[in-house]
Amino acid sequence: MKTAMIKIENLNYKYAHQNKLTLNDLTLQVPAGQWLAIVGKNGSGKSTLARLIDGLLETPSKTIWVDGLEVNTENIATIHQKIGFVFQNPDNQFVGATVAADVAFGLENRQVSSSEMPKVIEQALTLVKMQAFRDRAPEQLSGGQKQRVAIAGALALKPQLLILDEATSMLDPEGRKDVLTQLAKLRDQGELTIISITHDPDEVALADQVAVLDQGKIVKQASPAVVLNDQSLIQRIGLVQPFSLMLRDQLKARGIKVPTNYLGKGALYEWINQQLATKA
Amino acid sequence: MDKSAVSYQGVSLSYDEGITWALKDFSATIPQGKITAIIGHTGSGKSSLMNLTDGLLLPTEGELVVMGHQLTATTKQTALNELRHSIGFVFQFPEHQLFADTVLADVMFGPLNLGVSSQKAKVAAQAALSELGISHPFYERSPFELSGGQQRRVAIAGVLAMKPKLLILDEPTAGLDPDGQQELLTLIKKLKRAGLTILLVTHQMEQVAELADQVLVLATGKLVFSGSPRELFADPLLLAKHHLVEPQAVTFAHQLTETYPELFDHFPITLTELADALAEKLRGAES
Repeated sequence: MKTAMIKIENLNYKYAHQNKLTLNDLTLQVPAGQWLAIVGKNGSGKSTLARLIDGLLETPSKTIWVDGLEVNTENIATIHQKIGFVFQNPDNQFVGATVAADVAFGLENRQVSSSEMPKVIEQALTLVKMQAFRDRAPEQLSGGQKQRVAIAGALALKPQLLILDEATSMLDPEGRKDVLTQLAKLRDQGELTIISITHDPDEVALADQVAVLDQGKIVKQASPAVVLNDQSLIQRIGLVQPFSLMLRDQLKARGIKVPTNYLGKGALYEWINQQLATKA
Repeated sequence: MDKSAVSYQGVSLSYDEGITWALKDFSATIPQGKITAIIGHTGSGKSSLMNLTDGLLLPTEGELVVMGHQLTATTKQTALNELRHSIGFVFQFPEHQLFADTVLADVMFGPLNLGVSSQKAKVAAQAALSELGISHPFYERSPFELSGGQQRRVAIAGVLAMKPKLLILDEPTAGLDPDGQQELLTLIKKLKRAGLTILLVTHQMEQVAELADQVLVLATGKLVFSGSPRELFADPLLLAKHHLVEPQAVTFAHQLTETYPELFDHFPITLTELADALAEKLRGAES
């Protein structure tokens, strides 16, 4: 049994200017080396939760633990060493004059030796396919490219936990797939725990578990297969169905007897192939 | 032969007196009453092309004829005013330009600005709002109290209230949730049926497949493809060369044809077409 990288117990949170709880009695665990996707409409409390884990807001005492350490002022410096946080808007986090300098900035803060630094930067940029852009200034980059650099900057610090707050939203579909595949690889090697806040069904499908937030509460926590297959829930929280399930449901609507369980693209393809083979 | 709403003849545009070209020797026609999708990466010349079509810029070389108005490097500004009356340009994130105290006042602003009487402006605004599904109770509300999707629709109503014959939409669904996106796509189809010519700038290949009658692909200021969406998505080499991601239905259909090359009589490019074609084959398989 792996230890919990994140443990959250009975977390309530309210912003000072609001009457309603933004997070309402949340309890949640993420084992080390797992990927948790958090989905929900805008305003459901997703980003607040991510910020509380990273201690960016005042975390109520004895509610959140990261790698066994309670998130509080005493532990926060140690906890920050363990977490890489990538925000949605890359312009707010680009500090270097060039791509390479931006990745170097975080490393300097961690006092990585200057002899080691070029190698670490190169590795991180290669991971997100930005090595050819290392000398570019931020204004020469597209939104998606800046998001890649932000992810490289976080990964260069070798965090145990990576928190992505809609961090791939500006990438084109091809680029998003590249980056997510790399992250899944790091997770599979057991090197990284990931929490990703997302609206992208393909990103959700890569996770080990999905927490669905609605008005500050977790209304469902299950595998991606179970969550993505729950059409009414998906619609209610404003997610798009994955392509394979849209096609499955369209076939069903045309009177074809289709499997009712969750099918990824590969599984649906296999099923159709088999059906066609019986005809031939 | 379709009548053309816009024709471009050897149009070139340079912002630096011919050192570099944002658009080079561009020739194409936009058929009337159809949806033409313009695709290409940042810096491909899409925005330049839209600004030329709207008369915001004049070509450095060549000429274009927009709704019967000829535009060249020497066209006088005054000649452009009449042209702009027949074109509606919905910019990216148009809700950022909402400014009035009420929804109705915001939508009336366009027609009033064209010199229409306030009575007529109100009628036009109400018609446009109802077309976009914004009902009476919203008229006196501040546009800033509305949801993002509603604000987007109010902003588009402001353009439609001016009764354009050619509508330019720049990434109209960007940033909207799935429901909001679907509503807008339905609206675009409805506007086409009502006879509008539509230029749609988009990155969403699913939208191109579903909506467009014609596709123009731009790369570094040049036209690299002109044809139907079906022709475009049937050309994997061209797609790869310009880093265009085909719709998921196309990928899925291509995969199936690897095993069953004769599967489709008519290659599907949308989810609906794919489901129709597969359902027919699978029904055969069950019996």
